[in-house]
Formats: sequence, structure tokens, C-alpha cells
Amino acid sequence: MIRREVRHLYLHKGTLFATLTFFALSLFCVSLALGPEEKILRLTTPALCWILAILTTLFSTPLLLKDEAQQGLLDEILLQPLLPAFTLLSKIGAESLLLGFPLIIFGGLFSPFFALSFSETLTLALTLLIGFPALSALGILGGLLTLNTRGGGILIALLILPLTLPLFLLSLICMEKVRLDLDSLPPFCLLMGVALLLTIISVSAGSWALRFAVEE
Amino acid sequence: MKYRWARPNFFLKITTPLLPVSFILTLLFLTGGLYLGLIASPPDYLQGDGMRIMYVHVPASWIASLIYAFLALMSFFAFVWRHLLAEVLAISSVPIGALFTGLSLVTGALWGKPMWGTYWVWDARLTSVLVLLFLYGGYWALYKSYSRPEQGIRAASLLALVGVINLPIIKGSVEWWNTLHQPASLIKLSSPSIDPSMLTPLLLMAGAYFFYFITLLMIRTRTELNTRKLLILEAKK
Repeated sequence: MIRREVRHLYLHKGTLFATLTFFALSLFCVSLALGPEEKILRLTTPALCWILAILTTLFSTPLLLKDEAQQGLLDEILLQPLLPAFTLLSKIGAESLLLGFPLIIFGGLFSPFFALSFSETLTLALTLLIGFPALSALGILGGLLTLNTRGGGILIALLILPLTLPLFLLSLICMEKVRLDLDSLPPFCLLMGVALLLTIISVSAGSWALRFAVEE
Repeated sequence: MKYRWARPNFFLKITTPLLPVSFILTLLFLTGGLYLGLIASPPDYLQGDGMRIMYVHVPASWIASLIYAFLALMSFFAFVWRHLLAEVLAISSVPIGALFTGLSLVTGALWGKPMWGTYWVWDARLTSVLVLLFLYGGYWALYKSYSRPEQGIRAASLLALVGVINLPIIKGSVEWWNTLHQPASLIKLSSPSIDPSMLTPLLLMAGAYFFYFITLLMIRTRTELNTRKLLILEAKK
């Protein structure tokens, strides 16, 4: 199933590529704006990476969903004998593979430019890896909720950004602990738990939203 | 028979006498609370007269969260049973909740300037109240962006339900992240660390806000119900 969704997503490689470029370019722009001071960069980059990751998923996921809705693929999900939640989960899996991994690798490749040490880079990549499915799930929920609205785009940010706050803050706590050489395991475990919970909540809410988004 | 209490007409009938009662109660509590809070109660030994802002601030924060709980409950009813009255009650409570959240933020900032030396800090409680404001805003924006209100209300109630599950998590994570706010001094049930002369106006103000919420809620709900009735009548013609 994941393979099928990956194939679907692969048809939109243009969008995916644009999203990744957006991520990389805005990272560079902000670091240019902040100046070459290593200390500042080291402090701000993890936060920047996270904010940009949130923004990219929040904007690209609904775009992809809108395409699928126009092609009638969303109706098909409801017609399948499987629970719609499973299809949504496989969508999340596919998106993590095609968008999440490149994003994390990008972040990892560029982090020496921002004066991050190896362990910091590793933590950043790990938190992104764990947080990404939850972000993607929230993005899907937002996309489904706003599918039939006028406006759309900006609205998703307003709806979903506050909900992504715990992931973001917990990973920043992790990063800070690593930077100060403290034990970063407790916030990390908490992050995993919260990410899992958010994924479950938004997938189950998403399957309801799907039902009435398609019904109209 | 079971749903007799939830019928819109029953609501209209029962609120006709209740509305003035609740309005008068609001006025009574408000005058009592303001008099005791602003004039009769002693100034705080540490914070002086600036502490009197608290009589406006603290109950506003309470009521803001209470209204969110109410909104979530009504959203649940609206989502599961698609009940008209629950939908209308939910929509009517949102602007009032946003109002109290805004009031809490503004008075908190005004209090923070002389006490903490700054209008705003990125402290746990402040941030979570701000998030609450965004949740109210998101609900309203989502509801308004659908061209048909009955679609909008379903999407918005789903959002409110997700929001209410997330709220404790957001609160917890923010609290862990940073805190400066003083812990609540009322929760310790055995012996509240607050003097009765200060507690009374606080509770009176909370009562005033509560009845103000009820009054506004009734007015807004009645207006909305009557508007819908009119629309249906016009559609019939």
C-alpha cells in the first residue's frame, strides 16, 4: 500500500522538488540575514530547520491532497473495504519517505555550514525523523478540513500551527540539552510519545474529515 | 421525549424569563466584585495597588478556559448527533471565549509592566493562553470559510475536538520549556494561601463573568436561532 502511495506521490515530483528547494533556499536566506556569526547560527539553526519543516509540510501536503481530490482518488479511499485511516497512514508513510527523508538529509548535509557539531546534527535529524510523520498527519488533517473552503492555504497555517507547537518545543529542548551536554533522553522519549499521540489523533480525526469532505 | 430539553423552541421559551434574571445577576456580581476589589480590599503588601488588576485578570482566564471546555462539549454533541442547538450554542460561545482570552492577555500585560518590568515574556502560561486565542481564531475562521454553515460547523467541531485533546499537551510542553508565572494560589484546597478579603472579590468577579457569559450566550443563540427560522420561512415562500 505504501508502495502505491509512493508511486502516486512520485507523479508529483515537481511539487516535491519545489518544496525541498523552498526549504533549502529559505534556510540559506535566513542564515544570510543573521550574518556569519557562528554562535548565533549554532543557536538558531535547529529552530529554523524545525519551523521550515513545519511550513513545508503544512503547505505541500494540502496541495497534494487537492490534486488527489480533483482526480477522485479520495472518493476511492472511502469505497475500499479497508478503514480509511489505514490509507491515510500509508499516505503519511509515503510522504515521510519522499519528502521527509530528503529533508532530513538536506538538513544533515548543511548543518556543518551552521557550525553544528556531529551529535547536534544527529539529534536534529532524529527529532525531525520522529516528528515528521506527525507533521504530515496534521497537514493531512488540515488539508481535509479546508478542502471545500474558499481561501484554503493560509487558513491551514492558522489551524494547524498551534497544534504542532509541542513537537517543536520538545525537540528544541532536546537540542538544548545536547548542546549543554546534559541528558537528553527524557525529552526525547516525551517527543516520541507526543508524536505518536498526535499522529493517532490526527489520523482518526482525518478519516472523519475525509468522510464529510467527500460527501459534499 | 428525551430530547425535549434540547429542542430549539424549548430553548427559546425557557430563556425568555431566564435572560433578564441572568442579566441582573451579572450586574449584581459585577458591582459587588468591582467595589470590593477596587475599593474595599486591602492593597497587596508586595504588589501594592497594581495587584487589583488581578481581580479582572484571573477570573477572565478561568472563564476563557471554561468556555473552551463548553465549546468542546458542544462540538462533541454537534459532531456526534448533529444537533442543531448544540451547533448554535458552540458557534455563539466562540466570540465570547475569544473576548475573555483577549481580556486576560491584555490585563495580564498591563499587570506585567509594573510587576515584571515587561509587557510580555515568553512564559509558559502566557504562551498557552495565546495558543488558546489562536484556537478560537482558527475555529471561527474555519467556520466562516465554508460557504454553507452546516458544513463549516462540522469541520470546526472536529478542529475543536482535536484542539481540546492537544491543549493539555501544549500546556505541558510549554511549561516544561519555560516558566516564570507564579503557581496558582487557589488550587491548594486545604488552605488557600489567599486572604478572604481578596478571595471574595475574586470569586464575585468570576461569578460576574460567568453570568455575563450566560447572558451573552443566550442573546447570541436566540438571535442565531431566530435568523435561521427566518431563513427557513423565506425559503418556503
